Amino acid sequence: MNQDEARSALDGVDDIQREFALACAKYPFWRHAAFGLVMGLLVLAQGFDLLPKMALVVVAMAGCAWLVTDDRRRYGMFVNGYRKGRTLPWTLALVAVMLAAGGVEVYAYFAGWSLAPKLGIAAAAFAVALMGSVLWTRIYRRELLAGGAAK
Amino acid sequence: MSAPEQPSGREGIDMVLHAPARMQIAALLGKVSDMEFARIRDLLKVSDSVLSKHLSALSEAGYVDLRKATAGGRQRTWASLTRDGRRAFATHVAALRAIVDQVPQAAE
Repeated sequence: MNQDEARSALDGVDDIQREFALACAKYPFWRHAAFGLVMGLLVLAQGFDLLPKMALVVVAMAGCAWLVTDDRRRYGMFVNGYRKGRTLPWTLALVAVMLAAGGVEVYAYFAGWSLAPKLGIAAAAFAVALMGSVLWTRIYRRELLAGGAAK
Repeated sequence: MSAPEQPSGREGIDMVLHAPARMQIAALLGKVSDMEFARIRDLLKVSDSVLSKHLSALSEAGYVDLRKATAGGRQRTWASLTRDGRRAFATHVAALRAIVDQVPQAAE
């Protein structure tokens, strides 16, 4: 294989990833909101007794499973949020924030806080997860568009 | 006894991934958890039979996992890159980069 063939092969990799980014790697706002809702429910669940907690976790897990199934049906693919690449630090940061929010919900439960602040914490988690999902997708697209195989 | 010398930069070239379409399939699958046959075909702009052939070759080499799933009454084929496939793709890309980088030095 000579230099031109090697460069052409690497360019082919960058080209297909760019095309993929432009054609497929984008999601509607409702998809980000649905992810935020799942995260918000998981956080909210931590502020309740065992039974309502389990019910909320089951609903959130069912929502998560539905999102995976719907992604495959609608887009013909699935991208795991924990994938290696430029998105991983952002994923881990988002998980850390969600765990912290869940921790505050647990504190609220033991401190006997009323429902309003618990809902407020969950709403904040929803907003952060929604924005996190939007930014995650942007980072993912940027990674695909940047190419790099030929560099 | 020393091993026969290989031309620098050619080490790591994987003949299974040598075909440009197979490399592009691996490049796509490397960025997702899995992808449906029709989606890959549309992105690569190849026919069903051509894609089938390439996916079979990648699957036989252990680089791609193929699974069939029924959705909406239709059977669909899903492809994902295996760990071996990811490793082979990374090695192949590195070898190609070495070839690209090597030539200017040789010309000096």
